[in-house]
Amino acid sequence: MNCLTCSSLFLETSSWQRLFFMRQAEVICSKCKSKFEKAKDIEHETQWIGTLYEGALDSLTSIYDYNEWMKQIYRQYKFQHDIELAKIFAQDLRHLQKVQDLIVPIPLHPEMLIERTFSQVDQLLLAANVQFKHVLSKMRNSSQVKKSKNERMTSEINFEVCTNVQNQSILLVDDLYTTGTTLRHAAFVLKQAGAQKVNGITLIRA
Amino acid sequence: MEEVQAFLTGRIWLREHTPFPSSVIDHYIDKGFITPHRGIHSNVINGIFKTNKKQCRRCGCTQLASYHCAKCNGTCFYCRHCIRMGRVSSCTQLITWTGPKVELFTKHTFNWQGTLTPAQAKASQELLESIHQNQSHLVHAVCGAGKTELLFPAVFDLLARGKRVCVATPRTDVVLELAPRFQQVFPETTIHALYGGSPGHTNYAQLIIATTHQLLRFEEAFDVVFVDEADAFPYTVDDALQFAVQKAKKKDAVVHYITATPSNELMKKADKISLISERFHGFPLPVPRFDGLWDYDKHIKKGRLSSKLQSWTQECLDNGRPFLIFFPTIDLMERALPLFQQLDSNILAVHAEDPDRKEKVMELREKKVPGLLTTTILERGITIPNVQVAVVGADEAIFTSSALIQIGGRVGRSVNYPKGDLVFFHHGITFAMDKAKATIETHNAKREKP
Repeated sequence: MNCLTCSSLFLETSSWQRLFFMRQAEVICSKCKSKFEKAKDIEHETQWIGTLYEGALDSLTSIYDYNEWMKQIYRQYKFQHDIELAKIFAQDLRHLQKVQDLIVPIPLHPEMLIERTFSQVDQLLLAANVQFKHVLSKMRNSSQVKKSKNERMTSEINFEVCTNVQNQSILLVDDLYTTGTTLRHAAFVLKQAGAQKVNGITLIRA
Repeated sequence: MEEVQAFLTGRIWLREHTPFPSSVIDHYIDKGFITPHRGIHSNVINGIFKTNKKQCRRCGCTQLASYHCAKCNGTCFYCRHCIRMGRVSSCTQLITWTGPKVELFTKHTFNWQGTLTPAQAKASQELLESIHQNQSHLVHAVCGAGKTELLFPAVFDLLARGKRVCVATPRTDVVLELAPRFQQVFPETTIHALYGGSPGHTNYAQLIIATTHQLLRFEEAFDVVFVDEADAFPYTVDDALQFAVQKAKKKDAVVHYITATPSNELMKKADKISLISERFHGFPLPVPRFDGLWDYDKHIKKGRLSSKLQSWTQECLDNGRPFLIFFPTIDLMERALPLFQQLDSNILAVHAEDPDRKEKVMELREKKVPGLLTTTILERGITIPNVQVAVVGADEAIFTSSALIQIGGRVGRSVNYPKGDLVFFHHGITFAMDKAKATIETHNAKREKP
């Protein structure tokens, strides 16, 4: 097997676990894999206390830290459109298969979707074989990237709910958590539409 | 039109990556001046079973990834191999110029006062003859023979006849070294130096110095291609790079090769071979000496430096001679670094992924650093006066005979210091070590009897 990131040859160790539980095969070598760091548990709610969005998001989990290596991989995935890299994280997201909540990815604006040719969040879930449903849609095609932290946190809500979510328990999925604005806006509109509980999970925590 | 023509002539470019608006490109497509190509094309192979293989139009790679594309709302294939140059997929367009040809420019100045040694002059003359006869030529010249100089007359001859020329090499370091030298010799010629991360050019250059990788971005562009260091990694192992050279040249153009260590394959490929066994300064090649260094890896892993290695390094330090110590793996080198730093804290280590490689080599040249530990990455293309060289674990498989010859070629390159120590520390003499030594001795013997 050739490593997806450094393309060097590596041997996949066979294990009982793989045989019986049909664990997916590794796609990157152990050296590349070891460069990822698990996200640190950082308090995320404090800066939202007293705002409209306090309590909108019931919980948040992030898997990886946004270190230099992750930045490089993420750039290649999202901006060079190397969709194959989604497979690296399949094992980390696989447990979502068993989650009872409705899994809702953060959407792209339709124009952005055509420009990028794929949705980075959907592809992560597809690679991990997780069922999901789009219940949100983006209203304006605007990016958060060039905004300052303050501009982001005070920006207007850019989502609307397009199906019935009354009394549903929802798990929002996004790729990158920076200020938390996106997830909170999404959670806020979902709660307004009657969602009972909204949790969040992101692959990376910046 | 000139702008688009100058940019696209000989190039194969992603449509979205060109500096021109889409309407301009459409206009020339309508006129037939620009031809669009599908990024991924099907290659039908007629065999016993007719197979339909999808292939990247730019790098020729056939191992493609696929996904559901939102742009064309269907399954798209894309090439991961050349993705760093901008992704090529089923629904991207690559464009080439098929309009009027660029006007020939033949007024070039040849600003070179140097002289060639008789051996260089002979090889240069033979190369010129091969160029005129359109046959592939291999210049087999020992390290430090002055390979670049003997290219100058040939390149000038071609430029003056309006030919488009490319000097390609697998190594970025070599491009960086060659480009300023060529620019000095041909001061009025537009020259592009292309390597990963080089500044983009939008004009037309008649002479291009590029890594073989960058040639993926050309198609039927060159009348002649010279491949320097044709046996260097990764050119020999990466099919896409050999594909790149073949694609970048015009259909009937010929490729010439220059190297100190040609493979048998390369020797067979060439129609004619010139051999230079003598260095430009006339002194013999340093012959390696073998020295047993048993269990060097165990010693290093235990945090000890063998006394032989220690005294060798100490001697270099005491005499103020710069040195290079080659290691078979990055891991072993990094373990050894703190041990060497106990002798002198300024000793540094470099490897292929080191972002400061260029600076560290420069510091060695400027004597700010007494010596460097390195992997095979520095086996070629660097010249440091009076450098002493040791190879630790010369018996490891990574040190092939050509790698060892190239490493040995770092020693004694300058006229002022034509000698220097070249030592292979080993635990067991390998065939490759013997072959390297024998080859060097053969070259030296040939030198004495012209």
